[in-house]
Amino acid sequence: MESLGQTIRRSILFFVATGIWALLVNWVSPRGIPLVGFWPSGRDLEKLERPLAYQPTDAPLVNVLEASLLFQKPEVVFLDVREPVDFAKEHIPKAINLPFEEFDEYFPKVSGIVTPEKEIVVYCAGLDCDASLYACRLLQEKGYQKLHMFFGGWQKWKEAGMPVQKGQGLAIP
Amino acid sequence: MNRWLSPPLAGWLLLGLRLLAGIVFIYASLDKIVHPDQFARVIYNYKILPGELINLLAIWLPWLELFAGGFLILGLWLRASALLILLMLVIFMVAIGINVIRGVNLVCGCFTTSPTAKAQGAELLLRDLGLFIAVLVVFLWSGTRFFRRSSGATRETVSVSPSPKLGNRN
Repeated sequence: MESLGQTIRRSILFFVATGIWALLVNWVSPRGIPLVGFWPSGRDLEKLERPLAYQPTDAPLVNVLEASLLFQKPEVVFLDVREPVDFAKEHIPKAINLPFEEFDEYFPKVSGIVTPEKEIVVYCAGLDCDASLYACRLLQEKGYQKLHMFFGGWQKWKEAGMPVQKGQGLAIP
Repeated sequence: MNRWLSPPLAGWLLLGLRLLAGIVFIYASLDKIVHPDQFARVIYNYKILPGELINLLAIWLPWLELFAGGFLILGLWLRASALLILLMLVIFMVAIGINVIRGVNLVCGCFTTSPTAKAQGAELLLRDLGLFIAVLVVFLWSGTRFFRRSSGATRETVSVSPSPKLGNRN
């Protein structure tokens, strides 16, 4: 019977050999990634101005000041892509909830109000949330052109002391 | 002699568990090998590992999963590969558990009070726990004295296998 010591030795060898292989593959692969990546946390996170995965083809970003100016225009629609529970707690007044994780389920319900000609501001929870980015991409695929990505969304809105609303928001038929 | 399970049946059971766990791990590893950048992002979303280590893990772990799963199925270095899989599963369960408690949405990495996010986390935990138990059985039973060919006090044990040809090359 294999001894525990032998098992452990083999495990370590396995681990190290796999690591060498993995690093080699990563080095030659066109899809390889740097050994140390940019993954901000804490104070670095606070300095983030755009989502980590942001590309030039993505919807334009707005900061909280620009968002508050858009907020004052009644024809602009604010889209909250957080989970319904979080939305119901508090959200930007008159915002519509389109949870990113149930996008396909909710989109038909809101697409009557949230139409492609409207100017739309998309936001989610905060600086470590990329749901607004991905939701914007999904909307762009559906032909939405007038999108504004409010990165830092809810967190920034609250920090700025902006008005909030509770409950389910606009009744969706 | 083990009265509960005759050796051939136990052998088939263990082969089944090895196939199950091995296939799950191999399947899970493939997308991560092809998209290490996306996997690194997933690790980041867990908000546990320091940023400097994330890419290393994203590069290393998928291959560990692939090879350990493959070795498990083939019966090569069985206890070692089973041990590594058990360790990986423990780490996964702890990481998921931490974030279920914290209320972090594992998909986007943001904080949420949504019960759906918790339910998803709990589901993952249960799945990993099931795999853990399956591989634990494999680890504990492979090469144990329950499967001796002779009832004598010989040190040599027959590794579990449904047929001599397949044999586990421990």
